[in-house]
Amino acid sequence: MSPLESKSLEQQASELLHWALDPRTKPVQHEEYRRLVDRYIEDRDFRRVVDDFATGQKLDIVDVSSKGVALVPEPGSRFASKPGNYRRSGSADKRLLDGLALYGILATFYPRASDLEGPRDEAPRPVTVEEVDQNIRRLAEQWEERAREENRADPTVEELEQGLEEAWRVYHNRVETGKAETNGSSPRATRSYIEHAFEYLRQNGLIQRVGRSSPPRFQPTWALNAVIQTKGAARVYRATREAMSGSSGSGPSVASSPSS
Amino acid sequence: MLRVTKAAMGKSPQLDLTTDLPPEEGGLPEGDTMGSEGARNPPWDPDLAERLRVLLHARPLLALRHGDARRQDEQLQHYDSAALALKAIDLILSHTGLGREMDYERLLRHLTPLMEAMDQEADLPSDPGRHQKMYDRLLDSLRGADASRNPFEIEYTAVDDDGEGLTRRTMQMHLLREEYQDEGTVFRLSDEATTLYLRSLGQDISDAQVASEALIQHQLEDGRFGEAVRSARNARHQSARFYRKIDDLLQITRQDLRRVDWAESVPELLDSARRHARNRQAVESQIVESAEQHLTHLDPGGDDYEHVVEIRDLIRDCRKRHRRLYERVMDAPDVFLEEQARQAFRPRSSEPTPELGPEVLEPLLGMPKTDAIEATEQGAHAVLGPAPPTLPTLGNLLGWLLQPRQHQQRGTAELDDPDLVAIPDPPPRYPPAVRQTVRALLQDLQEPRPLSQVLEAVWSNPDHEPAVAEYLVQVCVADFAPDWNEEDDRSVRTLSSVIVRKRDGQRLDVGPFYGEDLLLIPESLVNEDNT
Repeated sequence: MSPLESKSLEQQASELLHWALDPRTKPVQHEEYRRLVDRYIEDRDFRRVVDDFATGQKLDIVDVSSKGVALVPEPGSRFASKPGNYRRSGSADKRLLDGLALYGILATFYPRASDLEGPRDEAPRPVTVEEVDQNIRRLAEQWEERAREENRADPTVEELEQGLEEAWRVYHNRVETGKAETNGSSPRATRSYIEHAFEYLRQNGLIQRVGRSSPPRFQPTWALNAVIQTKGAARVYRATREAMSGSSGSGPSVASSPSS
Repeated sequence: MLRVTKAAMGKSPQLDLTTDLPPEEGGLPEGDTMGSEGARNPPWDPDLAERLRVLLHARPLLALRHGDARRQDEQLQHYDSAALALKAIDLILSHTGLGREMDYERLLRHLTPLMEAMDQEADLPSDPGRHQKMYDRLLDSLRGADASRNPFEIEYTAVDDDGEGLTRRTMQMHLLREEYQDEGTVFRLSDEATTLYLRSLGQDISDAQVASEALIQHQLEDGRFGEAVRSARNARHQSARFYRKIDDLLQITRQDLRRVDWAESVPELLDSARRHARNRQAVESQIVESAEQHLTHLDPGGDDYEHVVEIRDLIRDCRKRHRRLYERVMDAPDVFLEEQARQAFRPRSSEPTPELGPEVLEPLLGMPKTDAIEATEQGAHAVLGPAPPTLPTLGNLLGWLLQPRQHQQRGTAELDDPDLVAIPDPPPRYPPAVRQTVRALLQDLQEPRPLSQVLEAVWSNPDHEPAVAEYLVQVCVADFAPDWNEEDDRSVRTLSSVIVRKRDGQRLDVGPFYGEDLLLIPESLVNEDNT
């Protein structure tokens, strides 16, 4: 009897979740992981136990294939990523730019709804930091143009202090790139936030660098593709809508967005 | 009088099930709705529209060629994009579903010699950076018509079924897509590009396998063994495609049952696949039997013998694939029933799929900063994947508390140049002369040959020291099951000139070496065969 088969169903289920919690690991690299994935796909009883374990841990198994196990932590799960995982500390502007960089990456990988409905195994085309920055900047410029057309006044000092300045202004006021006095890109530039987001996603097995060309190109891994297509995009959308409906200040509504 | 209307031929959201089906096995030619009178004297044969569509698929490739002279970067103007694109298509197609599929690095490696030849023609030195740049542009062009991944859109005119009206139609197509595989991302051709490529060679994709296997039998009877090898490789390619189609169907069923038409199309497809697999296995058994008979009359050391052995092995592989296809098809209804039971009560989202650009990123930019921060941080955890909390341990905590305080010195400090010392690599196990001999031996291979034959020649040649045979075996075995390089996330091959395959059921027994035999196929031959 092989070591795997000598283990109880519950132990095997928890081991599968253990592997799944690291998206960098692929079943093809580990015999035991591969066999557990095979069993999940073929054995209904085993699948039910694994699903129950995951539900108990507030984890949602959104896809399982020979390429891996894609998990989405439910809100409140101990496995959910926290802002501190992404960046140790940061001002409000930094947190905002981090969020915009991440959402900008997703919107560049999946520009249309049809890109989220395509075959799960089809990889989106690779993108560069520059493309993501241009994408966000283009939208920010549309907002700026609209504000100019409406003769909207600059935010007051009080509004700035209360964080009611519109997000596009923060992005727009930052340079794209630029060199600091030391070597390397300026950490204040928008592209450094996008680079940070790409690096975080890469370290977590959610994107991969394609080739060795310069500038570097990045492409989602199967795990990110599965997460976005199944739950990720819908949750991101819902969070945005909730924020819009409870918008605290002078921010424009959806109806007044520049492209509508 | 002719009337003109406009129509768009977008892709159906459901899986297209009929593209590759032989007409006699369930797939009706698109638009074949003419009555018997029309069929006798058709004003516009529907097949012409189909041929026109296939012909128009070449337009992106021709546009690539026209764009060569207009390319802004003068350093890239001498590259013939159409030739590079066709070579890329050929390489991708010939490796699809057969292992060692084309990924980014592998395709670049295979296209480099062609780009070097173009450099030479233009009296330019070879430049890997320039190759990379051209390669990326080529891929971008093949992926889609523009940066937003829209499909190519080509307008054409078709005559209506009644022969009285003209309709302007828009055909949408992709050429190249990337697909996740177990080991990474590989290139795949769209069905349209596959059709274009195979039909441009005069092959009918729908019954290509039937044709290939009939051809093999005919070529075997005629003693044209070299040609029969190429037909056998084509047949294997077709069987791999059919298997993949069914596999994709079941995978999509497991993901979302609603995306597949299990009411009509799928049962028809499965029925035709079952008949196809059963019929092919019978024909393939005959070919294997015929090949075995030829082997009894051929000289075991000769080229013809090796060709027939390869044909037999390829067709055995086809038969194995068809057996698996048959099993898969027989299991498919169970998969459907199981998924129906599993997915029946799964809650469906009532929200439409969002457009992440206009419906998420754009309104986010228009929000007050505090709201935008809240929205991004609320939504981010759903896309950032799981982040297992770090477990604290008493030992680590004590170590952290007891570590000496680090004093930060402010100001500037001069850095000394690093004192680098070159350390020589450890001496290799096999001297350069031995390695060079083995590489030369393998590079000289013109035809696929079993390792046992090559090894026998080396072992029995007194000019070669035993280390040559030992190294030969080691590199072949290493390439048959290459190591995995964690850093590059890809397998490491030792040899660049040959592809190593298993010879099923054949034994190697030469000198001190014993085990299962391998087949060494010159890589150049694999590429040539696919053009």
